[in-house]
Amino acid sequence: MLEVTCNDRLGKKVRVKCNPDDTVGDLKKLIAAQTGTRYDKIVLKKWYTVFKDHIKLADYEIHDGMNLELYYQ
Amino acid sequence: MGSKKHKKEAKKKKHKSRSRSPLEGEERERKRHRKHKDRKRERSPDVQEVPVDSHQLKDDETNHSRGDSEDRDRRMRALHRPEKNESEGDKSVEYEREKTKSPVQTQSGGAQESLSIEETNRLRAKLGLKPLEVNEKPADDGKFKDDLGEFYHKPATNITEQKKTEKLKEKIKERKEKRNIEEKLQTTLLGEGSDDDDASAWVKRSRAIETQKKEAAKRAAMLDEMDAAFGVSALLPPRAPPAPAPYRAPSLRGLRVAHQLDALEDERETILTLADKEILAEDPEDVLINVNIVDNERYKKNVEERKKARAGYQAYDEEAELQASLGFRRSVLSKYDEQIQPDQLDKDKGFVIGDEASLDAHRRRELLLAQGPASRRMESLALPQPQLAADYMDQHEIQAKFKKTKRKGKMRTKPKDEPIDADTYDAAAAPLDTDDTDVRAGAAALVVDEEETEPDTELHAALARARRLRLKEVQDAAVPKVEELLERVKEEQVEAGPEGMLFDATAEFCRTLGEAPAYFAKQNPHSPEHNPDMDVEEAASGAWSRVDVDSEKPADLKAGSGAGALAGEPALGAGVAGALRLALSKGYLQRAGAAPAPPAAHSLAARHYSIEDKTYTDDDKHGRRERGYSGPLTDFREKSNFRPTVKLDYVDDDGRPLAPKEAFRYLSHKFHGKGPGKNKQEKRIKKAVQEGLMKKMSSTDTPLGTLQMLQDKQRETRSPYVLLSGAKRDAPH
Repeated sequence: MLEVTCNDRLGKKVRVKCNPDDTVGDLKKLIAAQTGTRYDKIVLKKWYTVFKDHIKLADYEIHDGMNLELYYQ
Repeated sequence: MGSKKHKKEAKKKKHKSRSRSPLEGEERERKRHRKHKDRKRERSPDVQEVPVDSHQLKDDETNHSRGDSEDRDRRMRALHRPEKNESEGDKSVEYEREKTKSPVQTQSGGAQESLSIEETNRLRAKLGLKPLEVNEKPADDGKFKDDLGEFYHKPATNITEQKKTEKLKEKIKERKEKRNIEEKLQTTLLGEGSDDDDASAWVKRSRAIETQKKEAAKRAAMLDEMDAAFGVSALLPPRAPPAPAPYRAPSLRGLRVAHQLDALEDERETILTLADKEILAEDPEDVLINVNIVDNERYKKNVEERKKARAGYQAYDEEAELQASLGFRRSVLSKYDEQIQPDQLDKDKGFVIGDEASLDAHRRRELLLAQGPASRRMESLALPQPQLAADYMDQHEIQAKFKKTKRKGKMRTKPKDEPIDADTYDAAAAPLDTDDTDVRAGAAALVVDEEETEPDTELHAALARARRLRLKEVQDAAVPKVEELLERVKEEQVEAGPEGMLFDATAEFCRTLGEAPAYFAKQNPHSPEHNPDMDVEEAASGAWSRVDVDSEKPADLKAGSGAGALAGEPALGAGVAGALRLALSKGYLQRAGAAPAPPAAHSLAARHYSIEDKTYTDDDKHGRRERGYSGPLTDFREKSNFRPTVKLDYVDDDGRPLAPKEAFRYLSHKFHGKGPGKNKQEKRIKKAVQEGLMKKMSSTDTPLGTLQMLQDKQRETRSPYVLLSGAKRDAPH
């Protein structure tokens, strides 16, 4: 279990607990549940790396305590 | 001072705080050091922050208004800070929450920041995801996993720990050793330990020691006996052999000493040792040396060499010359002898002990050498006796002076196989007495006359006789011959007329020249030579003389044709007649009848010419010039068809053909006597070299022969392509 912080620099900062073998899509759903937006509107990025929905967090090497950038499409 | 401090403290306590801020002391500090973001949130009053786990609290509490929240806060404050002053409970909500927030941030956090695990699991169940894997943290025993979580890394060595342990170890070791040593040294001091007061005790002790010794001796003896009984003693190594008996002179006979007898000092002992020798040396002989003498010799040798080396090569070494004159021959490049053949213990530079005969011989030889080298020449100062000079030459002198040298060379030979017969001698066929080489009699001339002949006087006499006879003969036949010639000439001219008319530039010229007298004759009709008939005739036919075909008999071709133009040229005799004949035959002269009359002298002469015009007063170089015969005045008739092709070829000193410009340059140099300068010459040389290279260069290939190499490579590999060096993988990408 790891806890990831998602920040969109506009006031929304969410900390989400998830499993390492969750996909990014699942993470987006969790974020959506917490922030109130729709999960398909969310884009998670780290600098210019866009995290794709079907890939697991472990494969992206997203560890506990990492900060992700929250954008919207 | 303590008392003052105390006072200050006391003062502080007395005063009541007059600050009107809702917070106090620490709270104010905390507020001051709060982070920016929290401050912001706090400022906006419309934001109502809902605690995350508000659902856990009672439902009616969440809907409370501000006032209720105050109660709640009070309650919470009461929980966490019981010592808090109740009077200051009435504060704004945010401040309280701030206080409560900081210690519990990680757990409940701010709104929408984090859900608890249960919440998350619920959410996940709703979404259809499996619940969170809550695993205890892996053993934090200093191991940490690899990036992929596969391996455990060894924790890094703590160097301080290491050093500490090492130090400890050392200390322990030292202490241990000390202990050991001290144990060893743990002996009883002399002054203590034994009860010396009691003499009897001492006596007893000493007796005990004695008895022990005796017993030990007995035991040893018994053991020895046993050994002897079992014959073990034989197995034991024998005792050290007795000292060797000193050797005497006879035992040294035959050993060689590698020093001169002189080197060994008299009346002193010289210690000789065996010289070092290689184990695998072929020579089994042992040589004795004295190390001191060896060292001395080596030192001397080195000193000499150093001196010589410093001197270097001396072309005019006086000492060497002196030695050479005395007979000591020094080899070439003697200073390298040491390097080429390093000096070793010479075989002949020593003596053998006990060999008296050789020693004597050696001594004698040395004496001789000391006297001087054998090849020294002794010159006596006696001069040869003066003698009277002889008047007559000696036999030897004669031979030396009057030596007849044989003339060995190609003589100018005449074919002299038999004596010449004057009557039958054909002077015409004989070679002329000139310097030219005779081509006809060339073969005969190769026969070199080896015999010594007197300068050809007989031969000359014979030849002269023959010549005279021939001339007579010729003169007899001269008259009829002349008539013959005339006939021949006429016939030639007659022949040429009716048959074929060959127009030739020279012939025409002559013809026209022939016409000229007719022309002149016309002008001077009163000349006595003028013959009207002839004139008409001549005018009509020019140089051709008319021949009446019927009247005259036909020309005798037989007589003339053969010998006409193809006969040999009449030989030049000794007289004028012969010369005239020759000239006639060659065409220098013409017979009076054959050729038309030359123009009258007065017709050609100038009209207004007077003798006075010729002035001989001033010497002009043109007048003084020898107006000799300068060559043929008319063309060669027989060579009238000759048209020479003129080709001027200029050639360099090296044989290279020159262009006209270069040729002119060459000429100018020769003319002025000054050649081109150094640079120009070098330039020319370079150009010539370049030209040579150009000529040598192959016309079908590059200068480096690339094409040839390519073809060779193709032939080698039997493939139409050539693989360039470097692999595909090494290509930059």
